[in-house]
Amino acid sequence: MDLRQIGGRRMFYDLNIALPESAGRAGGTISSQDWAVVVQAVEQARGLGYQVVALNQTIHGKLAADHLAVWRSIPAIKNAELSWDRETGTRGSGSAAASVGRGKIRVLRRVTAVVSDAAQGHSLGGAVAGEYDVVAVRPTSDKLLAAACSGTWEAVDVVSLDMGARWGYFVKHKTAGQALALGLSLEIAYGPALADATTRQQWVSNAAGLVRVTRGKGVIWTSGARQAFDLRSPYDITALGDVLQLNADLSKRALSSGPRTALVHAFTRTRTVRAVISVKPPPEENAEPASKRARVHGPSQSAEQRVGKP
Amino acid sequence: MVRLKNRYICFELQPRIQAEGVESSLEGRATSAYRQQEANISARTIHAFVREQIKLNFGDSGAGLVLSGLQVKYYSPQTRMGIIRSPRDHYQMVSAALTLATQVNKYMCSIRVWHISGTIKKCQRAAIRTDRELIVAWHRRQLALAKAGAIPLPGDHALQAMLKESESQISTLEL
Repeated sequence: MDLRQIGGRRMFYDLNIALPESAGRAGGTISSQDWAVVVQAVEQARGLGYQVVALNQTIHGKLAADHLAVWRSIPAIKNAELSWDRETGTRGSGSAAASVGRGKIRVLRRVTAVVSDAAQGHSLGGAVAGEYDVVAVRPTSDKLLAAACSGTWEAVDVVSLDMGARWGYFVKHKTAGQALALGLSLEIAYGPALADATTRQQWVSNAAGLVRVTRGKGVIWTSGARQAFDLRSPYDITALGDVLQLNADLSKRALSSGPRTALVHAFTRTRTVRAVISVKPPPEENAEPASKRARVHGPSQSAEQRVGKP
Repeated sequence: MVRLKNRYICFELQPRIQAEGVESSLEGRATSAYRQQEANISARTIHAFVREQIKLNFGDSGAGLVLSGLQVKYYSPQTRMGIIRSPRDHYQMVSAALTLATQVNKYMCSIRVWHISGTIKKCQRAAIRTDRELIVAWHRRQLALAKAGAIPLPGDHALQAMLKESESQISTLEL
């Protein structure tokens, strides 16, 4: 389980297939009807050419262990690899960004915390957030956006903003630059673009602003789809991107290597710490992933550590 | 000599289907009204629809830029595949307009662009290939249904005939 497993080229990712609102409450559940809609969306994504999707649970307030309960009730999906164990709800051991088998789709877990004050952001650290493959935060004001992008909350991989809504502020170059420097990704969801004319105008305004401020780097395309009908193929999204001055190359990156960066960020944040703990850490604690340690310090030392003291 | 350069956009209308029982786009528990709307769509309606979509999203200037160059070369209601010709300088706008569509007239569907190329040949090939896959998949499903006794067994010649017809329809398009 090392970073070299991170998968090959031309994998398309959609890191936001939205679970229904009922999943967002602590201890909430999803009815089988709603699951059927989600499953159909995943299958549609597979048909459209995506290899990895993340099901997004949007929560308000603090993240608690209860939020994880809903993931156990997912029905079986054909040709899909789940990144978690359906029985126990714990995270699987594979790398979320490793190569996906042909004709298959990998399903990941994502949480988006809608943050309305700073204290909620701090709850994102810890074991519960570690169970998710991607952690996203949706700040509701420009101060919170600045906080998110400057790294005050550690357990954040993606900064997400509601693309169809009026923000009341501009995203500044400085804020976006900080986020990019930290390895965070900014999400552009194209769901609102498919809605009515007013939402669409707002979407173009917001998205074009984000593209301008980031120059197309660190941006990820997601669908925010509630149902299969809201999904579009990578080809089509590239066409949309053109409207925002996001050329085809940047759009493609926003569909493949951008999301992969977000997954790697999450991987490094959660799994490598765990890897160190499972190996029995040496006195000088460091958070380098095992493969990097092997490269830097030489293979013999890491083998020694892997065998470990009894 | 100044040539008018074009782009050929191969697209497919993908119907909106309910989640209960996930089925492919060639078959569905669509109501008869839905099917009727689907059958009502022709090359002409697609043309009017695309122009309207462009006007909606890109305004009068956008619509004006493609007014003379936009043409629906082919559309088949059976497989819902079609080819649109657009001026090369504005094909992204046309493609974006297609992406943003959520219904054609009253028919709820999304539009998926399969292929864009400068000559119609590649588009024809893409359309034929996708048509073929869809028809074969549909035929397979018909066979499975027949086995279950739901419908009478469709003859092999029906499949061949459909494949031939769609292929010839697409191949004889004028450039």
